[in-house]
Amino acid sequence: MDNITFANQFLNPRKYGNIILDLNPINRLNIFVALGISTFFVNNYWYGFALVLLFFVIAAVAGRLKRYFSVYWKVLLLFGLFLFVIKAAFSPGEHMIFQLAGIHISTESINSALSLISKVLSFSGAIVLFVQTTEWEDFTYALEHAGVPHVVSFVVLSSFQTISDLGKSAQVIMESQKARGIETDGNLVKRAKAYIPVMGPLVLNAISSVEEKSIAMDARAFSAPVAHTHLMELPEVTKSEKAFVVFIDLLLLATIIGRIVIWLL
Amino acid sequence: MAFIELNDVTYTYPLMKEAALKNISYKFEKGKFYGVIGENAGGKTTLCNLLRGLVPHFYKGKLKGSATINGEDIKTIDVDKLSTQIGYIFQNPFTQISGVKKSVFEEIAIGLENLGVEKGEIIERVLKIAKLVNIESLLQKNPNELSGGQRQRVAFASVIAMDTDTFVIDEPTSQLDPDGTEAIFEIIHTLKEQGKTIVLVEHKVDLLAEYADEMLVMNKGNLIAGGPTKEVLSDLSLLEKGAMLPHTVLFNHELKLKGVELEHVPVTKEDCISQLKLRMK
Repeated sequence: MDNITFANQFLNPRKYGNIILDLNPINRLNIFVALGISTFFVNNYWYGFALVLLFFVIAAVAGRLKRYFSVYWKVLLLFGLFLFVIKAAFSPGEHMIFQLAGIHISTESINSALSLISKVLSFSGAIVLFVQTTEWEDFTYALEHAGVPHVVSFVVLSSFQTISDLGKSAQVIMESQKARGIETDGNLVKRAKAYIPVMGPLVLNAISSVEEKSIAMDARAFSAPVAHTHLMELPEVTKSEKAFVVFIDLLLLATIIGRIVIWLL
Repeated sequence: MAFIELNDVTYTYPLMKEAALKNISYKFEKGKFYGVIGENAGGKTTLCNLLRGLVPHFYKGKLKGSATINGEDIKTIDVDKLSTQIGYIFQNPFTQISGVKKSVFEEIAIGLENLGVEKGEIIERVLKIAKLVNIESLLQKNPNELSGGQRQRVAFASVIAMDTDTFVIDEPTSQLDPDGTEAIFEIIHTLKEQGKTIVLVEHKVDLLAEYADEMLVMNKGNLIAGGPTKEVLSDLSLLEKGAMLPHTVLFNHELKLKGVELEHVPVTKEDCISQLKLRMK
């Protein structure tokens, strides 16, 4: 693509041509989080697992299935499997299925484990899905458009960037350690021995670069006392999108009210 | 009246015993090109920070004496407003990239967005500056994946694009090859011709000799020389104080030792060549 065509892309609001990715980022966050939270009030693990599946479908529709799964499988393994095993093995229950030493697996403990992990997996799925379907730049633009101060949105954006920068810097330091003959691969102890000394310079370097970065932003008139413009803009939110978000929020509200009523009765 | 006026300015960074700037007095006029040279830790960067208002507003510390920009006392000046009047390019190219944009095009546009420039004009100005700084091939690349030299040119373009009246530039060519350095100097010269005020810290004194109207020489926080470029750079005694002088001045000195006298001390290549031609006739 030539530079003129590239530049002219900014003349129109950014569109991805995808029903999920073209949702306003704040609305997308609202929908996903509302769905994630709803599992805590529905209190049925089939509902939670259905949401987990739904998030996979949404990720596929957004064309981000691979990205979503590459992060979510760790959540599945760490929270899903681990929590399930612990909860199922040690929660109390009357209808015993298996018993060995301190391990008591019962129908109740399995139900309790399934209930817990369905909540954790669906809520974390909502967050991972949002992260994997959202460009941070779009999100901060949406925040600013919604009235969040410029400084706050920049802090959000640069914080995420700093995390990825820290990862890159750590990699560079590890590579240079390797070049000096220090073992950085191998078992957990060896890795820890290589990583721990790196943490000090890494954090100090990050702190000192924050100062220079803030000067750099000042040099770009970040705090100039004028109304800022935006090169990249997002489309205006459609009425149907607004209505859908309200619908989801009302559903969540109804679920919460329903749960409170059941609890009171 | 001078645009920037420093009168007996002494500045000490917080927690430091020794002052980074000591009794500095100088007048900077609009539309002139000032070169700043001197050994490392001589106070050049602190001087830049002072001219940009970062000293004392950002770095705090103790500032004595009087410093005014456009008649306003630097101690009470609105630094946010100052950012729209004085462009600042500093040394480290790695921290001058915002890190939050996905293309060099958007990176250059940040300053313009902050100045409230309309989208159509932003696009026009970014394309124009990219051509001027010769970074058109980088426009669509991710700024976080550029080399040091490329980042330096992008940072330079980003500030130049803001089109402020004054530019304070601290070693903009430290990561560049000779061709890249020459190109940056030519751009700075073009800016000067457009009536901009330039304060440039550089070690490449031969190039400064060609372009700068006035030179300031810093040493351990002191301004040991300041004035018209020819006058300052002809002073061989500066060598003993850690300053670098143009090769032509050193060449002239060698010629003198061998009994060859030129009409005056040449500080630029062209001047040196023309004088040698005259001498050989």
